[in-house]
Amino acid sequence: MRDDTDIFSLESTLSAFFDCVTSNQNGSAYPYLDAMISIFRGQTSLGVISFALDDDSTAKVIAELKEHLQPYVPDLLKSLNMPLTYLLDELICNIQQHARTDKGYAYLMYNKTARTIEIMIADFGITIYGSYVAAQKHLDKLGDSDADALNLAQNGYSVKNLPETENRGYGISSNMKMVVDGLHGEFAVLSGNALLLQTVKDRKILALPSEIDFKGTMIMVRIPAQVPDGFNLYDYMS
Amino acid sequence: MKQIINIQEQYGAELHTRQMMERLAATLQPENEYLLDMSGVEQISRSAADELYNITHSDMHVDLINLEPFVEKMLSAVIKGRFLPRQHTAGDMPIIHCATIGSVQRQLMAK
Repeated sequence: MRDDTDIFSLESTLSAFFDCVTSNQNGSAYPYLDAMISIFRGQTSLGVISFALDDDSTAKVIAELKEHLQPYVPDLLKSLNMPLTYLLDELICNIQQHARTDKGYAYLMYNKTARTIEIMIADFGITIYGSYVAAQKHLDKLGDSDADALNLAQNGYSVKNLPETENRGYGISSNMKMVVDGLHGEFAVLSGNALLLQTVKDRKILALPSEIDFKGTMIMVRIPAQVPDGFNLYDYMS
Repeated sequence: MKQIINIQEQYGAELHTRQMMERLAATLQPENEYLLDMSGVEQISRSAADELYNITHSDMHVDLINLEPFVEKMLSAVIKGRFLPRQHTAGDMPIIHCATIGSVQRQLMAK
């Protein structure tokens, strides 16, 4: 079990996750889910929670994740509540709207030493690349790889069409901007066989080797439990 | 006479999903007029706000009253998202091709 007093970076968590996936691949029918369950756990976490994507379950899982933080950051949660709820809403709604699956997975851990909150939201749906193809959007720019799809998503290319809904799609670009620029956190997206990583110091997409092919999308976020001075959520609700 | 519906009493202080607003829409009758009292609704997701916008711009006679600041801002963001062209300001990210797990690990640990 991960010790919540150890300081894990997003990169080291992902590194451990990939190690776990590759070692699971010969012995597990569900190497990615098993790796999630194995990596995303700790003394101050609930472990990985699976939830249905209906109204009640979505509201319940968001409440459950936030309630779990209450004993650890009772004061901080006052200022963190709005951006945290906004972020959880966005990440979970993405699954509902784009992933074409009926179940999501969530994890939240408070790291006492680093005073950070680590969030993971995942699905085993059609991937971001699959969402563009299913919607027949931006196929001219899409190329043929998950890495190209992540690049489009982070640059704000939508999978939606007006007028039925907002012309916004995954909203990865605005969520990432809020997490990294606003909250000084880190943001990663694993979808298919590509990984996007954005921190204050680094931004890149890794096209992964063929042995990594995650049939779904997993978003990991790490944010300081203390909201930085001057942060205004409204600046990121573009 | 307009019928007032207290949204917080019926759906809670946080509106998370599009489906929640679709359920609300299903209870409304086109021949009636409604005021949706949003007081006490402190948080709304973009999806729920988008669907709320659909309700207020449908054939139904529906107006919103007593919007909390966050809800008002979210509805503004949704309207902007519908009518302004998308901005692609982030630029391309460098794509690094990793042939082995070892190269992935090196990229993750590179500072």
